[in-house]
Amino acid sequence: MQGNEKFDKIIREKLGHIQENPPDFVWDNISQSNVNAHANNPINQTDQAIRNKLNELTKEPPVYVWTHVQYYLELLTIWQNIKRVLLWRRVKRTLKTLLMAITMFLLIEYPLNNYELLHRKPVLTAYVTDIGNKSKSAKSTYNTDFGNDALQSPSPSSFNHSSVSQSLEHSLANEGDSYQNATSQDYLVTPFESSSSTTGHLISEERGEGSQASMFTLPQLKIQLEASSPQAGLNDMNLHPDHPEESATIHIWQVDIGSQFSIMVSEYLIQSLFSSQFVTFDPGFMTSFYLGRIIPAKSHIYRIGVVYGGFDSKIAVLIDGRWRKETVESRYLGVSGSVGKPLLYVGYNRWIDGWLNTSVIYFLYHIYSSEILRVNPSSNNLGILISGELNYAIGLKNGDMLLIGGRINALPVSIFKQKGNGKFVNLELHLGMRL
Amino acid sequence: MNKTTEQEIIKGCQKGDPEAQETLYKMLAPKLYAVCITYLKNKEDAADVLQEAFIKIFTKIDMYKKNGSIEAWARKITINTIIDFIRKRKSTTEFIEAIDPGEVEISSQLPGIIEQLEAKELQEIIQQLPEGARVAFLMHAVEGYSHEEIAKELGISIGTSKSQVARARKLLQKMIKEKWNARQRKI
Repeated sequence: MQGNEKFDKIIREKLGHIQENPPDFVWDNISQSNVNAHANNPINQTDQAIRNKLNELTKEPPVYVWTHVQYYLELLTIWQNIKRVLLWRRVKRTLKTLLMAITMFLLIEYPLNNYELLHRKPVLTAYVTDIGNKSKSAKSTYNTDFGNDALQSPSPSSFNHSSVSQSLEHSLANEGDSYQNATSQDYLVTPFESSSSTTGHLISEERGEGSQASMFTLPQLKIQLEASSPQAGLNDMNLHPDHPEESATIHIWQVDIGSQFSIMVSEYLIQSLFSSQFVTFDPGFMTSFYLGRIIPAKSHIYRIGVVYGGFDSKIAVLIDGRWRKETVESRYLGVSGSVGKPLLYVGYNRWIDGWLNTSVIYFLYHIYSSEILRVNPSSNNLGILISGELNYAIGLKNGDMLLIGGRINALPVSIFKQKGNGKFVNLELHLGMRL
Repeated sequence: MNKTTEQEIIKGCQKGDPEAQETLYKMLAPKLYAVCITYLKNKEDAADVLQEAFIKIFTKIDMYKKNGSIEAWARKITINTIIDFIRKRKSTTEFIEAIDPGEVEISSQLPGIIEQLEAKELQEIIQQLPEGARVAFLMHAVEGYSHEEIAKELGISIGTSKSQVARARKLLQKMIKEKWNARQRKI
């Protein structure tokens, strides 16, 4: 490297490290010149001029614009109110579910007095008093066979005190056997203290035995019938087909978590069966009424009535509701469904051993569309399951029974199934409870 | 309108008060309708878009932040509504891939001439532009959109946006000069 070059290199290196900020005015001048250049640009000036001119422009819009805007805003307000109501309904539904849970807890913990265990052995406690001239009384508690002769009054012609006593004694002696042979477990006959009732007379007179009825007063029996299926009260109100005339009070405590997750604790009071009419009253949490009429026939009971529930209304014609040994069968024909989706259905319900409840709808007819949705569920592998329900009863330690069931509501599900999208839209979970 | 009154109106609109809504409508509608007409030319389309814009304004007014004027905010909504409208009927809008007209030379006299024109005259001139050029030009020159933004909003290429704006400038200059010359001849 030559001496000059070497010198230059050193100078460059030294000077290269020197940095100094230029005075502010240098940038200010550059900046201002940019602004001026921009401002002096004819394109920018033109754009600015156009902007200014266009900003001066105003024009009154047609009147209908505001009218339409107003109209839309009003509709929007209505829609928002509807949404608010729907939201409130959702909240209500949640509250109902909570309420149901609390009720279930209370029912388990503190069973209601008049809600006797359905699985308890049938018991008849009867006071027999004032028989003939002999003032004797017999009190007995025994299991009874409520077969076809279950509620028949003793025949006065063959009646005598010793035979009653013997009968009672015999029953007591064979308590176990009687229960084994019981055909109607859910009849619970409890004593009625007053002897002023005419029930016994009426029964006797109807049977042409009034002349001998004065010999004794048949103890008035208050019969409690309790449904085996708490979630389907109407279907499961089983009156003895041979004795529909018996005065009875039916208590059905129904805990229902339906498609709307509703809770229904109902008490149906049959006020009068003598006129073949009854009115049910539901003091439960939900509005639910049944107003109907019993039509007793030789071997069938027909119940025709209208059920109105909180969300659903139903016109039901129930044909037969037989109560047999450890098996309940009922057939029904009804119109049901949500508002706007009325469906005619024919179904069959069967309880097996009081443990398993199966229900099959074998005819579904959509009234509005005149479309038969299902004729035979067996043609569909899922038919029975879709249109049915399975419940299982669990015995609790304290002797209570908790009925847990899965149910797929036959009606809406069937519609969707039939439409082929395979979606189960309205799955119902029923939690029934037997205490 | 003073600031306090404007804020009261806005608060009223936020509460859904019909009177406040009507006041705000009367306050803004003439200006926004003029914007719609400038963009869309067709009065019926402009009215439809204005109606839709006001529905958006009233339903979204909770989102209005007070750091800008309500007019600017409403204008932005209106422009967006116009763009939506144009995008929906894009098939009928001329966004021809125009040949780049090259560097447009704008006369330095043009801004002065524009100053002399009536706003209505300028609007009529702009409305005579082909729709594609008109929309791209207004978005770029008046609303301050970049070509990238215009391309994105209208679903066209950046080159198309640039050429449409350049085309609009060229045509505008020509039409403004013609208008000006005609006016001069009358005088």
